[in-house]
Amino acid sequence: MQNTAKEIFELLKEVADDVVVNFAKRNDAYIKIYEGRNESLSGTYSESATVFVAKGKRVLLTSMNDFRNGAIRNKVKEIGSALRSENEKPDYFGIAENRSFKYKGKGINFDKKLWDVDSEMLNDGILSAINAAMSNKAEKVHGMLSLYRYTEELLTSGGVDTEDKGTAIKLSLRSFGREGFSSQAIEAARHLAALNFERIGKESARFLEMTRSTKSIESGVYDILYLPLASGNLMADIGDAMSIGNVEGGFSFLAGKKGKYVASKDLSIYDDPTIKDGFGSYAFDEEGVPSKRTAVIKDGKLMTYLHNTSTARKYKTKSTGNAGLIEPQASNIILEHRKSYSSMEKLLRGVDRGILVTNTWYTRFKDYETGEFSTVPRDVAFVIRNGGIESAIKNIGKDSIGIGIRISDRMERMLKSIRAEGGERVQVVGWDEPMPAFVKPFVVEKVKVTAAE
Amino acid sequence: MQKNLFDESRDLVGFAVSKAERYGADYAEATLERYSVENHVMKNGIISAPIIVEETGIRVRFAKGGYIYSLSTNQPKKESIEKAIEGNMLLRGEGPTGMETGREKVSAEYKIRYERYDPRVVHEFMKNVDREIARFKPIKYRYISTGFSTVSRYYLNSEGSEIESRIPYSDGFVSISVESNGATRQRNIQFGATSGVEYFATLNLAEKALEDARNMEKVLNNGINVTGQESFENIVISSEIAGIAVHESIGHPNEADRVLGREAAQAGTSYVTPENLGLHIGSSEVTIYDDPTIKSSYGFYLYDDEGIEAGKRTIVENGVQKELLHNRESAFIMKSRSNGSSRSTGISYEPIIRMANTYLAPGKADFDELIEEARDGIYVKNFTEWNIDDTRSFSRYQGNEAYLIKNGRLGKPVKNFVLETKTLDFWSAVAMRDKELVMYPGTCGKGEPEQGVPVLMGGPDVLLRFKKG
Repeated sequence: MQNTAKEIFELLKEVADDVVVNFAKRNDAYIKIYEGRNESLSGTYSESATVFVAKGKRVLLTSMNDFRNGAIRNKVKEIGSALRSENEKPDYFGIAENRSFKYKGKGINFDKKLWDVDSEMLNDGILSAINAAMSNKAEKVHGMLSLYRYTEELLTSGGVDTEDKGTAIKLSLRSFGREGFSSQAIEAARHLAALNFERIGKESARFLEMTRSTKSIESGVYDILYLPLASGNLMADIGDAMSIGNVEGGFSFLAGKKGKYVASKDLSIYDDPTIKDGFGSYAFDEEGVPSKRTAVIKDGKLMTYLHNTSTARKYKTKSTGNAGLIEPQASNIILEHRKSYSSMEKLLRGVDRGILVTNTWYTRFKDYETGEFSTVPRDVAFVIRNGGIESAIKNIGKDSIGIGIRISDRMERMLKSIRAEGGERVQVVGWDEPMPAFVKPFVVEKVKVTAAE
Repeated sequence: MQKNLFDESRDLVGFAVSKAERYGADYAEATLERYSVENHVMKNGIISAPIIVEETGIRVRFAKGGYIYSLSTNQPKKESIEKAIEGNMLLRGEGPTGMETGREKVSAEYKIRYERYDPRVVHEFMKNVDREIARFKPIKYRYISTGFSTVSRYYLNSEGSEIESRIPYSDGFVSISVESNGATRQRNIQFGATSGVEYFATLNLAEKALEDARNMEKVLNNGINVTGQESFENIVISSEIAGIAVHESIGHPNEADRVLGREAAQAGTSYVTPENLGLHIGSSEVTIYDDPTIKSSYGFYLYDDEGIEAGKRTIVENGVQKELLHNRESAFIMKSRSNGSSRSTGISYEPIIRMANTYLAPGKADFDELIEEARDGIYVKNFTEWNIDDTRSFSRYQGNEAYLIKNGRLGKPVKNFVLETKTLDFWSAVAMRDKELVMYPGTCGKGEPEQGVPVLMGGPDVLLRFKKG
C-alpha cells in the first residue's frame, strides 16, 4: 500500500504547494458487556488517506478511500478544483519542514500480542474481570472492551516520509450493587500485558461494600477528594483549553493568561504524547513533528498553549508537536503536585469535612472564557468526616438510583485550590471526556456543591 | 466514465446478507452508504480550512448464537466483507440477546430534494452573518460553523426488505461571547434541517444572534442577582428550556436500552425500569411525542437503520409514561415490537436506540397569560450550561437570559438564575402551556464509541408551579 500513498502524494504535488498525506489502515473492535456477559461485537476495518493541501493561503483537509484504477487521479483533480475555489486563510503559515527529525517514539505504541490477540485471550480476560467484580459485591456488571490496531504512513512536502504502527486496548466496567449504587473502573494501554483484567473488575466494585450507611447532604462548600476518574475528567477539559485553537475561538479560560499564574504554585500540568502506554501517545504529530513533552503549566504559571507549525509561526513561537493540521490538540495530560502523599488514605486523613467523588460526567460550561462550569458525580460519592469515610451520599429517594449532587465552580479557582495529591498515578479515559489523563487522587478545597432536597 | 463507488457496490449488499445467512445468522441486514460532507468554520472573521469528506462503505449486521454483530468496512469488496465477518467471530459460547424478526417485508425509496450545493453560497452566508454581528462592539468572540452533508443508503435484510434513501443535512452553529461591565457571557445558537443550504437564507441568523447579544449586554449591565432560587414558586420557562428538558429527562430515560441497562457503562441508566413502566412522570398537562416523520426536520427519517417504518411515538400521555423507544434488540428482550428508533451516525457505528424530534405538546394559552398567571416569579428565556445525572433524575439549567415577574408583568433582568430540580418534581409542576410549539436542533451523543445524531427538541412556553413546603 506504500505505492498508493506515494501515488496520491505525487499527484497532489501537481496541484498544491503544501501536501500532507497520512495513509492508514485501521481495525477497531468493540465488545459490549451487558449484565455480566459479552453481548455484541461491533467492528470496522478501514483504509483511508487523510489529505491536507495548501496552495498559497488556500487550504483544505479531505480524505480518500476509493483506490480503484483512475479514482485517485479523479479525486486529485477534484481537490485541485476545490482548492482553487476556496477563500484564502490569511493566518495560514505552512507545515513543518523536516530538519533531521528523529522519531524516538516509533514502535513503542505497538504490541505484537495485542495485534495477534485471539478470542480465547479476550474472552478469558473479560470473564476474569467480571468474576472479580461479582466476587466483590457487584450484583450487575456492564461495560465495553475496545481494541484498536493500525498502521500509518506519513508523507509531506516538508520532507517527512515515515511510518508507524500501533495497538491499544481499553476495558471499562461499571458495577452495580445494593440500592443501585454504582462504581466504575477504566484502564487503557497500548500493550496487552499492561492491562490487568482482574484488577479492573475488582476496582469497578471497590466501593460497593461501603454503601450500607447512607445519608443526604446539604448544599454548601466542601473540600473534595477527587479519585482518578473524576480528576481525569477535569484534566480533559483543561486539555481542551490548552489548544491555541480554542483560545482563539473564545472556548478557553486560559486565553490572555500566558505568563500568569493560573494554578497553585505547587502544581504543574504537562501534555505528553511520549508516555509509555498512553492512550493518546504518538511518535509524530499530523505534520510529522516528533512527539515531545510540553510543560503547559509549570509551578502554577501558564507557559504556553499547544501549537502546530502554522499557529506557532503566527504567534512567533515553536510548534509543540500537537498538530492537528486544522487545530492543535492535546495528547495525554499529566498533573503533578509538589505535595504528594504515598497513599490515598493519607490524603484522606487531611480532610475534615468533605466529599469523596469517585467519578463525574456531563461537565458543561456556563462560560468557557471564565471557566465557570458544573459537573455531576456519576457513581457513588461519600461524606468525609475527620479524615475518614462516613457514609455514602443519597440525596434522591429510594424510587431512584441516583445520588443527587452536583459540583459547580470555576476552573482557575479549582486549579489554585488543589491542596495535594496522593496514591498511585493512573491513566484514565472517560466515556464523555475521552482525552487521556495520568493523575493521582487529589484534594480541591472549598468547592461549591448543590444537592437535591 | 467510471461508475461511482456507491453504484458499483450495490450488488454487495445482497452478497453481505447472504454471506451472514450462510454463516448461520437468525437475522441479517446490510447497508451500503455514501456519506459526503463539507464543513466550514469562521473564527472572528477569519475563515478556517474546510473539511471535505466523501466516503462509501458497507455494514453487515446480524444476530447469531445469542450475539449481535455489526461489521463494516470502507473498502466495499467481497473479500473485505468476508474478512470482516470471519475475522470478528470473537465471541465464545451462547450469548444473551437477539433481534426481533418476523416483520413483513418493506420496499421503499425516498430521496429528499435539495438545491445543488455551491460553496460560494455558504461562504457568502458566513461572511454576511459575521459582518453583521461584528458591528455590535460588545461581542468579543465570534465563531460560525456550517456544514452540508448528504447520506445515501441502500438497505436489504433477510426478511426481504429493500429500502433506498438520500437525506441532505444543512447545519451549524454561531457562538458569541459578549463583554460588558467587566464581565462576559456566552451564547450558542445551533441550526439544522434536512435540506440543502438554501435553508440558511431562511434563518435570520445575524438578527437572532444580535438580539441575544443585546439582551446579554442588558443582563450584564442591569441584571440583578437573586438569592433563594429554590423559593420561587412560579417559573415560566421558554420552549428552549422545555425542549432540552424533554430531551434529557423524558426522551433519554424512555430509551429501552437504557431501561434495560445496555448503556449503563456509557450514556447511563434511567429512572424508568422494566418494573415501573406506566409510572406517573408529571401533571396531566404533560404529553410528549417523538416523531421522526416531520418534514424537513433535523431528526427526519422514514425508515430506521433496521428497516422498520418510523412513526409518531407517544412517550408520555397526560403525565403517564406510555411508550418506550425500541429497536429490534430491546423488542426481542422485552417481548415487544420495535417502533423504528434504531439509528447510527454512519455505517462504521452500531445502530442503537435514538430519539428523533421530541417535544412537549403545546397548550391553548397565550404567552402573556402564562406571565399573568405566574404573578410573581421568574421567566427563563434561554440557557447556557446544563447537565443531568446518570439516572436522569436530577437536572440543572443555567439561565442565560432571565427576568423577574412582578405583578403579572416582566421586570428586571436576572443574572444568575439556575433551575435545578428533580425530574418528577419538574414535570409535576407543569401548570400551563402556551400554544406556540418551537423546536431547536441538537446533536445527541450516546454509545461507545460515542456517536452523535441530529435531533430536534422543543415545546411551548410553560408555567411551572412548584409547591413549596
